[in-house]
Amino acid sequence: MNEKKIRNSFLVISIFMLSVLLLRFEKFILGLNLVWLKVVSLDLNLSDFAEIDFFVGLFFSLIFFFISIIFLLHYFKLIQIKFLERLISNFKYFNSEFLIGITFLCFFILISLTAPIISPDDPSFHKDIQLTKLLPPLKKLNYIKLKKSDNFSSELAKSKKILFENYEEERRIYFNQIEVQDSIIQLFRDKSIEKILLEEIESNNEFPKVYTKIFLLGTDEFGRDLLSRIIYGTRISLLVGVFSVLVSFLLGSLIGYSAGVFGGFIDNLLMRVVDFFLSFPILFLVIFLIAFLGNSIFLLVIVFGFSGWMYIARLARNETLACMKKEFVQTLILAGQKKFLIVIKHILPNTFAPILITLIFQFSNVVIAESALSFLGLGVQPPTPTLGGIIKTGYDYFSLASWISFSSGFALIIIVLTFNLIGEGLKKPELK
Amino acid sequence: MILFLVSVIFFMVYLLPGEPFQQYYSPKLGNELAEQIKSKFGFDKPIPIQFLNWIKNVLQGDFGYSIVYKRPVGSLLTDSILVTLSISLIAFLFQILISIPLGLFLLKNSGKKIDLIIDKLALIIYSAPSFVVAIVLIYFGSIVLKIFPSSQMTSYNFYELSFIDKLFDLIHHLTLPVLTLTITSVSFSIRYLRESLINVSNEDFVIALRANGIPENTIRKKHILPNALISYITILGLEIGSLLSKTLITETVFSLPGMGKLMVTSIFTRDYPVIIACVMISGFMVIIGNLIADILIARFNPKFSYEAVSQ
Repeated sequence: MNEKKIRNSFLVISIFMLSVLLLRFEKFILGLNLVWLKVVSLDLNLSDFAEIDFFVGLFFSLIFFFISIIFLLHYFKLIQIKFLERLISNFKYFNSEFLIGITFLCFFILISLTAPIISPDDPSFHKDIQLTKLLPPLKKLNYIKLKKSDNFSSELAKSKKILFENYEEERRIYFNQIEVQDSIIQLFRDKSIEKILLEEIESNNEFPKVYTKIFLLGTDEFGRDLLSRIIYGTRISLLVGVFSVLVSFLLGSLIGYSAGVFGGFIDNLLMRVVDFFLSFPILFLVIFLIAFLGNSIFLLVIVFGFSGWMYIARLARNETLACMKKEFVQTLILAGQKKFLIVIKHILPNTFAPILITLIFQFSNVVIAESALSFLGLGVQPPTPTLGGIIKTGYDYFSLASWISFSSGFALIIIVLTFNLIGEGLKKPELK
Repeated sequence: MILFLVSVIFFMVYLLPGEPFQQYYSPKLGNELAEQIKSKFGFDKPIPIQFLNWIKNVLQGDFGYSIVYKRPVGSLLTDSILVTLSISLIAFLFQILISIPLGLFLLKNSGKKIDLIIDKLALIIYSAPSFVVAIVLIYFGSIVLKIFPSSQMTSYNFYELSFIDKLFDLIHHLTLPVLTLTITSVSFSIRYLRESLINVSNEDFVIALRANGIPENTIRKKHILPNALISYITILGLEIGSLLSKTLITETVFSLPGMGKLMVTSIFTRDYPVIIACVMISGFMVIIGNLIADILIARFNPKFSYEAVSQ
C-alpha cells in the first residue's frame, strides 16, 4: 500500500517536471543553442551573474529531464533499475506525513534549481507598466513583437529602448485592441491610441503576428510576472534557510560535542555561554543587527545561523553525555582512540537523528523569520524578489490586488509546512 | 546579563557611522552653538563616560531623550508598553481559555476524524507566519465583510466620545490584532497540549484508574489534565518571554502604537536611546518569563528540582 503511494508520488514529480520542461521547450532549446554557440566559438567568459544562473538552471533541468524520463520508464516497467527499487523499499518505513513532506521538498528543490528555465518571465522585468500592472490571475494579454532592428520611425517603436538583443521579452508591445489600416497599425492601449508601422514588427502576409501571453498568477504593481517572482522568492528562502541551518549546525555541534566530550570546567563554561545566549530576545536582536549592519543575504545567513546554534549545542551536549556512558564508547576510550576520532566516527552518527529533527524545525523557523524581516522591509532588499517582500507589496495594494499577498502567502505556508511535516514525520516513525 | 547586552548594543551604536545629534542643529548655526548642544546632551565626553552616565540615569528611571520624537524615552515607553501588554495579555488569556477545553475535546474524540482534522489544521496555521494570518483576517474582516477596521487603534474622533463609546471603539479596533495573536498561539499550543495529553493517557496509572471503574470524564479532568498541564505551563512561561517579539509583526501590520512598532520605526530613524531601551525591556521580559516558568514548574510539579530545569 505504502509502496504504491511512493511510486505514485515519484510519478507525479516526474510528470510535473517533464510537463514544465515541455511547456518551456522554447527556452530550453534556446539555452542548448547558446551552449552550442559558446562551445563552437570557445567564448567561455561568462560576464553576467544572470547568464551563469541561466546555464546552471539549464544544467539542472537537463539532469532532471533525464531522471524523470528514467523514472517514467521504470514506473511502466520498461526498464529495471535495482537502485530505484531499493530506494522505494527504503522509503516505505516512513509515515505518510514524512512522505508528503518529502514530495513537496522535491518540488521545491526542482523549482529552485531550475528557476531560470521554468519561470515564465524574468522576475524583475517590468516594461509596459501601463498595461500589465496589477493584472488578476489567469489574465490573457495580446502582444506584437518588434523586429530586430535599430532604425524605427514611429514614436512607439522609438520609445522602446532595447538593451539586450537576445532578450525576447524586451521587444513585446502589449495592446487591448488592434486595427490594421494598410501599412499603419493602430494599437488601443489602456486609454491611449498609438500608431506603429507594419514593417517594424514581425508579420506574415500583410498581417501582424499576434501572440498571446497568460499571466498565471497575475502581476504586481510594476507589471512583473508574479509566478516567476514567487519562484525566485522560494529560491531565496531556501538558500537562506539551508545556509543558516548549516552555520548553526557547525557552531552548535562544535560547542556541544566539545562540551560533552571534555566535560568538567569546559563543559560548565560553554553551557553558561549557551544559557546566556538563550536568554537574548532573538527577534529584536536580529532586527537590530540587520538594521545597523546592512542586509545582504550573506549577513542574513550569518545572523540567523548565529541565533539558532544554542539549541543544537545543548542537544548535542546532552546526547553526547548519554552516549559517553555507553559501553562501546568506554571501550574505545580505554583502547586509546583519540577523542576527536571517537566524536567524528562514533558519537556523531549515533546522536545525529535528534539533531537533524531540531535542524529541520529550525529551518522552518528561519524561513518564517526571513520572510518576516522582508515584510518589515529589513530583509533582502527590493530588486531581489523575496516572499515576504511580495506579501508586503500585496498588502500595500490590498484592496486593489489581494491575489498578490494570497498567492505568495500560500507559497510561504507550503514551504514552512513542508519542513514541519518532515520534522513531524521523523519524530514518530511508524515502522510498518 | 542585561548589563552586558545593553553595553554591547550601546557601543555598537557608537561604532556605526553617523552622529545622532546632528538632527538637532543645522550647519548654519555655527560651531559654538553646536558645541553647546553637544555638551547639553553629554555628547562631548568620551564614550565610556557617556555610558556610565547613561547607566546612572537608567538606574534612576531616566532612559534619556528620544531624538526623533523629542520626548523623554520613559514616557514613550510607558505609552507603547501599555498597548503591547494589553493586546498580548488579552490574547494570552484567550489562548489559555481556548486551548485547554479544546485539548480536552480532542482527547475525548482522539482517533476520530475531527481530531485529525483539527490537528492538521493547527499544523497548517502554525506553519503560517503571523502576518499571513493577519492579512487573511483583514481580507475577510475588513474587505469582504467590512466589519472591522484594518488598522489603527482608535477612531479619529476618539477624544470626543464618552467612556463607554471609547471602550467599544477600542474593542472594535483591537478585535483583529487580538484574534491574530490568539490564532497563532493557539495553533502552536494546542498541538503541544494534545501530544502531552495523549502521552499521559497512555501511561499505566490511567489504565489502573480505568480498571477501577472510575468514569472516563473524571479521569480526563482530574488525572490526565493536571499531569499534561505541567509541560503546557513550561511553554506558557516561555511565551511570556517572547510576547514582545510576537506582537512586533502584528503591531506593524495593524499599525498599532505599541513596542514593536516603536522599535521598528526607531531602528529606521536611528533613534538610539529608544532602541537601547526597547532591547533592554525585551531582555527583561525574556528573563522574567523564564523565571515565571521556573517558579510555575516548581509549584506544579514537586518532582522537578531546580537542577533539572536548568539542565
